[in-house]
Amino acid sequence: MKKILQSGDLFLWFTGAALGTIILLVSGLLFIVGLNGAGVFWPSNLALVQYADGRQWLGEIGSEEIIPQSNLPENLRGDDHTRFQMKIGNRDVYGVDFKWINDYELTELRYPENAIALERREYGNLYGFLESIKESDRIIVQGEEALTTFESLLEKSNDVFEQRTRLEKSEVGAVNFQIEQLRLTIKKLEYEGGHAADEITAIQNSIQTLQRQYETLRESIDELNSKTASTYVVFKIADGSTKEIPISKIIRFYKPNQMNGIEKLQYYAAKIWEFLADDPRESNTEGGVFPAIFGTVMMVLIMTLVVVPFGVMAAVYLREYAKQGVLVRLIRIAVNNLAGVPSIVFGIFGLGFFVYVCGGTIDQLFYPERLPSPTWGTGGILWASLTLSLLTIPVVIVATEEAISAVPKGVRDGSMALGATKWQTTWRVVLPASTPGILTGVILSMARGAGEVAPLMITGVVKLAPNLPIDQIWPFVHLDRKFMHLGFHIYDVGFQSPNVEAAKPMVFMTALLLIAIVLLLNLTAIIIRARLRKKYQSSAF
Amino acid sequence: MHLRNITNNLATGIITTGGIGLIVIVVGIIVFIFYQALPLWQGTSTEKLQDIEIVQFLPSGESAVYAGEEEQKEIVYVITQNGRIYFINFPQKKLIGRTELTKLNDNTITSAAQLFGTQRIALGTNHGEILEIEIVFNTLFETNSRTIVPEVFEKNLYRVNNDAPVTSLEAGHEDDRLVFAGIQTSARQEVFIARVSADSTLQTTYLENLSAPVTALTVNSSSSEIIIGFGDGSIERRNFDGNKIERTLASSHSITALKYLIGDITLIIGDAQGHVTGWMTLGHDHSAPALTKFRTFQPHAQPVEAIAVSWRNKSFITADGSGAIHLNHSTTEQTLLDLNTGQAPFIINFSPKSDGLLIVHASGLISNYQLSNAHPEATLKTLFGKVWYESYPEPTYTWQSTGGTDDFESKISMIPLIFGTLKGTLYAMIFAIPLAIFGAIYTSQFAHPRIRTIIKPTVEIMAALPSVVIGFIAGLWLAPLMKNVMVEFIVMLILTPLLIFIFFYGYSKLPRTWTASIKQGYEVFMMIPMLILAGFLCYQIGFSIENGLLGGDVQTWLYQTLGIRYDQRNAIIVGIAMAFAVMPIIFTITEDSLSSVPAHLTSASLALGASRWQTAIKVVLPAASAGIFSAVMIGFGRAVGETMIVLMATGNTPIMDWSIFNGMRTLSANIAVEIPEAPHGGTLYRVLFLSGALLFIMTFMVNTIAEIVRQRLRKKYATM
Repeated sequence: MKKILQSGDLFLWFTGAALGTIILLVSGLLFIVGLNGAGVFWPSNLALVQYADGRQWLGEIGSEEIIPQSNLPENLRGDDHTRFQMKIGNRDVYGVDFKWINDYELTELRYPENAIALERREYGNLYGFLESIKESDRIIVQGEEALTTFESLLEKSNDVFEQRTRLEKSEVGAVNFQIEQLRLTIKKLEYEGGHAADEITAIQNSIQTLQRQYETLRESIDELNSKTASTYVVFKIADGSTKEIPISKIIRFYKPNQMNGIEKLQYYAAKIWEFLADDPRESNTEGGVFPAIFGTVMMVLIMTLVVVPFGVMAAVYLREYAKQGVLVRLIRIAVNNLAGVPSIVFGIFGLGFFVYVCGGTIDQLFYPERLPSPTWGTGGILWASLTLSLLTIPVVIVATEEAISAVPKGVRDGSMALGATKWQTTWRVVLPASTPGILTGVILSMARGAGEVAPLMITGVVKLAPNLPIDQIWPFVHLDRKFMHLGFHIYDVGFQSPNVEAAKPMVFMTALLLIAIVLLLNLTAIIIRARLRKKYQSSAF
Repeated sequence: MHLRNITNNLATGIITTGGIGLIVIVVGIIVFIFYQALPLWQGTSTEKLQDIEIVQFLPSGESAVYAGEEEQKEIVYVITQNGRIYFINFPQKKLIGRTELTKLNDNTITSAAQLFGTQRIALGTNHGEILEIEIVFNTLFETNSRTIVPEVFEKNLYRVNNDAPVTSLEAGHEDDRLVFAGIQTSARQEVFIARVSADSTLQTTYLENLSAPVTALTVNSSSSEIIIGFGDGSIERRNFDGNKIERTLASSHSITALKYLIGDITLIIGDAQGHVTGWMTLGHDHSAPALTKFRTFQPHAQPVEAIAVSWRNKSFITADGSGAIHLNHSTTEQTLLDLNTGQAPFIINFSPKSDGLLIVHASGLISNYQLSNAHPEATLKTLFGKVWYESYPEPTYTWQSTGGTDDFESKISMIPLIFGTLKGTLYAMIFAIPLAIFGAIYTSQFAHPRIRTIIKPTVEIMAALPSVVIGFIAGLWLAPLMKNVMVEFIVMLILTPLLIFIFFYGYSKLPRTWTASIKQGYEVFMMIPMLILAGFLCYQIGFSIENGLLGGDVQTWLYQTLGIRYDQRNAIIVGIAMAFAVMPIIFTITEDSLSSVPAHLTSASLALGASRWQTAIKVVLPAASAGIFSAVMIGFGRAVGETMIVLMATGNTPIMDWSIFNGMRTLSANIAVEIPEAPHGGTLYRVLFLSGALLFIMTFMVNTIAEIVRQRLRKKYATM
């Protein structure tokens, strides 16, 4: 025994176990997110469960667990019983989406062939059985044939919905925006005083014209609405009651118990596409995250535009231009410290300096007529990007410095000996040689920026932005707009939404997406770095 | 050639500017954050706006009984004892209006009381009447100018039972009806409570059994009580029916002034010795609630004559007969302003927005002061010390910056937040340090180089995971899970090392031919299934313990047996999640410093017959200890500033409790939670910047120490 301890192999085992734990933690987290995220859109079969007292529920079966003893009725205490969570949908009927099904009450569980799952624009999914289709109050089709009619009607209704959304978003949006702009122009003219009465009347006239345009658009939207307004689809739900759903509120339906693997895969792919390309619905718990992806990408790009020139410049200064001495050491410590400053501190700096000082000044100088409602003096994508660039600039500086210092001195001397100026040497020789290293730093800073949330929360991210920062309305790029962000989406939907349980799958999916983006960026950086090392190892310098 | 040089010089200039600009930015950030927090310590200042001799407007023989002003501090009204109200435009020093109160019928006004927060004034007369009036200030906008037009409404005239002069009057309300308390003095002193009933008549109750002469009184509307101060220094609480609730000796001298602050909780008492104290009704354990002294303010040299209360915050003014005026802030117990006017003030009043002070002297001089007092509630004591807040049984460290109402006393102690930050960090370090350092030792000393090529990217992935994802998993997945497997988890923490030992013992007894298949440096692959097995065993053991010993539900057991409350999002969850976030950085730096220990040291040690472990622990670790120290410091810095994880994995309640089953609120999460609600430039905004500055200082120090240690270490290695 003593001998065993003396060799120290036991402690070696402990260190190994620590490393093993780390590996398990990382893979565990990725596994949990992957498992919960990837399964979100898979159409699971619909089970019909029946209790001994005759109550029935239809829904998707979820996780199973042992019932805590305290939750068991008196006479069953002591035995082990399990329960599983079932997504019963029909939020408008039951009030909740989930129910625990206890095994000791369960008498029957089967998967009825024609159970139908309905995705709706409100109240989440509906699970039930198709009964009939009604036009106003008259039943037009019933029983078997109802399904084909439903299919074709739904297609029409979705067409109408798409047309309507297009009208509302682009045309009505544009008209409203123009009216708003003209109103602000009037305000400005009035603020500046002077004699602009004629101009103001002219603008008021054009506002009226726009208003009439708006009315016409409204009318055509109403007309579109009336096309499907009177069609209702009647479903029988598990508790025996029937439910009439206006067809305009239905997005799609599927019968998971009849679907084969390929059909399910098709459905899965369609849902993934919806997730990536659509706007969120139902206070972000359904639909897609396109605006959040867009916002994240745009913010990271603006940040990169700021970080790259300044970061590289600073690094070149530190390595090539500055005299190595106390000052440079101080700057290095400052840069390292900047990397260690908590991101929330950058956040309040961004809020205090960019939003209130810079934005406030811009408002006072250029938009005094709009005050006290702020234009730039409130959070926006530009301020958020600038805040993040302060946060990520150390990454670029450190990486660039490393890359530059890896360029052998002989190369520089050679260039200088051939008569090149210092700038020419830097620009033509040193920087090209260190490009991959700089690129690594830039990608790493992008990854860091994409995953950071805390400073954004207070400098311009919102849970739901009505407009993207880029649209077809002049000047096309609106850097003062608030935006959505994947990371904040996770926080907001997972922790601020009223129905957390129903929102969870969406959050897992978003987390998976964010991890994928961040890891992809990191992986790119790792690969570039590995290639770089090989190149330097094999190069003839 | 020429262009070339110009370009070169230009580039040098730009790059140098950019480089120096960087340090300017870093310094700028620090300076800006401190600069934002600085105004918290800006003291109170006053500026005398105007002095007006009131006599010039009043006919001889007429003198003021009450005065006040409107929100803009432009118009001052003076009510005289003859029942006239004079409106004076102060900046222009001009009389702009005069109204005669018609309902008075030539009686004179002997006392006045303004209803808190309104321009409704009750006037007591020499014939036992009370006239309620309201002054309304209408603001009219005309081409580029604004005029304020005052208007007086005479409301009801009430009659107290007895027609002796009302020499002292206080007004309050019970629900929506007015309640007056006053003193009538003729041959003898009589104290009354008068309630306005539904038909606008007055129901008067005369107080009986008054043991000593009444010297001061006030009304508490929220608890429907009147407070009476006596000449013998005692105070008595009575209900609106005149029945005594309790009596307390508040001073050894006569009580001269009484007033409730906004919120009707703190009672300010001034006595004939000049003492000013704050009292509240507080229940002690099982005894009935009684007035308790909890605040003391700077005393006056002479008897306190008047107290005026702010409508906006917890500040108040006290004045004595010599003309000394103190502006105090209740929460901080600070005297913000000590003004000596040199002559006895007759009426003192805050402006409605509490940004000004109106003083009417007995001589007829009216002074109007501008007060700038942006952050009275923030002092070093309220930020970092124990403060006895309103309705609290004892002094505490509390953070509760905003309440539902205006009269809320904001509690801005940083201590619970600093505590929460340290607690979260501590638990994170408990989990992170052993795993990261042991893992790094294994990776750098024992692992086969090929394994390192797997471990490094794994750790990099770990470092790259956005903290919002970690926080989300911790808060929405781990926290509900941990609730069910708490016991199992604790068993796992304790038993896993033991199980590893048992496995190891068994392994060393296995025949060599079996164990030879696992090469040196690949042990970690054996560890992973072993850990899973250990975890499974611990789960089974823990489950049996929970069902067998703890009655099947550990939370109920904890609460019933130990009295410990279990929060779902607690310190363990934060510890694990934050450990996840700081582990990579500790691991990387430790691993770096361990593997850069010069190879000849380890080779020498191994050649002398030391085992791998002995070499690692006796040679490599001591050589790299400074590097490990700096790794821990940097990890500490990260954990201190982590925001999203704490925000999502704790309940964010600012409590001070080391319990692993409770949550916390950290400085960083506090900023994220509160700054969206903090008005720009307000006290909360600046306090949050102060906490940002604190975070900055904490991380700055830690990082600088770590950096210096690392640089020294590098030099040391270079000389080896």
